[in-house]
Amino acid sequence: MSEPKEIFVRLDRCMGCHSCELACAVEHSRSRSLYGAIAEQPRPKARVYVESVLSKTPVPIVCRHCEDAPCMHACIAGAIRRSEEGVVVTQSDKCIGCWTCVMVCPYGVIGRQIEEHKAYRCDRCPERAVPACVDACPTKALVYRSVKDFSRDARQAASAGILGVQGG
Amino acid sequence: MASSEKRYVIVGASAAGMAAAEAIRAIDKRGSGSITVFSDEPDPPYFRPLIPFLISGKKSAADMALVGQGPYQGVGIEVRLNSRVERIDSLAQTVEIPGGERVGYDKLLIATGSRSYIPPEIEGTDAEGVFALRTLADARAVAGRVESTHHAVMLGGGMLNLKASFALLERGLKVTMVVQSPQVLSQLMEPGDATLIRNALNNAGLKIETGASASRILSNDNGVNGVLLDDGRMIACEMVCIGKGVRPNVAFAGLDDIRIDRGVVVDSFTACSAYNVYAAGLQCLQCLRSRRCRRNL
Ligand SMILES: Cc1cc2nc3c(=O)[nH]c(=O)nc-3n(C[C@H](O)[C@H](O)[C@H](O)COP(=O)(O)OP(=O)(O)OC[C@H]3O[C@@H](n4cnc5c(N)ncnc54)[C@H](O)[C@@H]3O)c2cc1C
Repeated sequence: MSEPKEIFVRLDRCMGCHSCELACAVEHSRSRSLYGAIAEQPRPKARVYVESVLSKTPVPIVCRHCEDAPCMHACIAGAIRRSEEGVVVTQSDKCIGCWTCVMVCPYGVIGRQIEEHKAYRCDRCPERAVPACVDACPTKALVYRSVKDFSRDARQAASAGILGVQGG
Repeated sequence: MASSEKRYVIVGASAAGMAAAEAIRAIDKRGSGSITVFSDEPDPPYFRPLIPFLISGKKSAADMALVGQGPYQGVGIEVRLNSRVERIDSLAQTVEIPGGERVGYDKLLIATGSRSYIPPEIEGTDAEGVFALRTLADARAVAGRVESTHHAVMLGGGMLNLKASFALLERGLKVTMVVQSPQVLSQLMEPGDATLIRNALNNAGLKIETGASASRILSNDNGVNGVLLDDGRMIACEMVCIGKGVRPNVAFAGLDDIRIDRGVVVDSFTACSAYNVYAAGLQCLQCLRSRRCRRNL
């Protein structure tokens, strides 16, 4: 199996434009188009959140599919499992809407679909090669890479920086 | 003996017992240590909070099975059903099940949870049609009487009886809840909040009688046919559900060296006072100040 990929956030690049939220909601709508999504009931929900903290610094935050996922162990209906790809999945048909996962999630990234009484979270867009939020980010603040590749990118950027300084 | 060859015995195959079994298996990946979970229930492990759905008809027993769902894979875990552990011998490190079979352990976990409390002062609780919803078998029994029930009376206004009430309302029964305290969920919330809940429950069709308690359950050949309240009123009904709290399952023989208070007393490592015996779940009472606790154990 190839190295699993994660959604990484490069905080220095986020402008707080909320494009990721919009793209996520559209991807999880029935119509999968912006205009269609606006008219849908229940309203399609974003699974990524851009929070503003400390003098309005925008921070995109999304389910981290924790290695030791508290939501999965806390679920009283066995509705949360980890897929072979390492994605923590809420199985909607099994969810009974008790919100235990919402309460235990340390990142607050599990939402409540009140109309259908179901919990929802990032599913890493299983039908797409790259999650919609990552695709939509105009500044590439969100990247979808394996840990190995992300570290290598960071090393290369740092190395280029060092060379730049030395060569300068 | 290498840690992976240990014999782990767990008493109780519900949330705490099965989570512990999976956690042990996750550490003992080679699978050479044996994990045996004893359950006194006839059903394979299931998600207990789902049992009201068996009454409402929204889920089948198979939909509630625990093994194979979420983090519960059950690999290398032996579950022995209909096997009530009656005696724990913590010196010989064995547990005993009916028939006299003794099973040795290196580490023992008591995860026996709790059982419904049936107040002894209420007369007639052994009549047919009187239930306390705790197990899948209880849920089946309740569901089995729904067809012949027009009116169900719920004694006690806690979470379990509320869940049972809703399941019965969904089946189209008339449901009356008799609550001794001035409000429902009196153990859980402030009176103002409880009033909000009460209004919502009334709107959902649940009739609530507060400040009253049952003194006798009346029955005839068809089982329950009424509840006599302490204020003299009689409510005709064909089903009674008792939701008056729970008590810890700690009635083993040979527990002399395991400290029991309101439950099994454990330290912050969930260890009991007996060597190699641990406890987890609803029946255990944790004493977090581990050093002092250990001294007292
Ligand atoms: C109807 C209902 C709805 C609920 N809803 C919720 C909810 O929405 N959210 C929530 O968080 N919790 C809910 N709960 C509570 C939750 O089910 C319990 O907190 C949880 O099951 C406790 O797990 P446990 O493993 O400690 O004990 P238990 O689930 O009580 O299991 C203990 C097991 O050990 C067995 N046992 C006991 N003695 C022996 C013995 N000597 N030998 C062998 N086996 C033995 C028992 O039969 C039982 O199977 C609900 C409970 C009920 C009954």
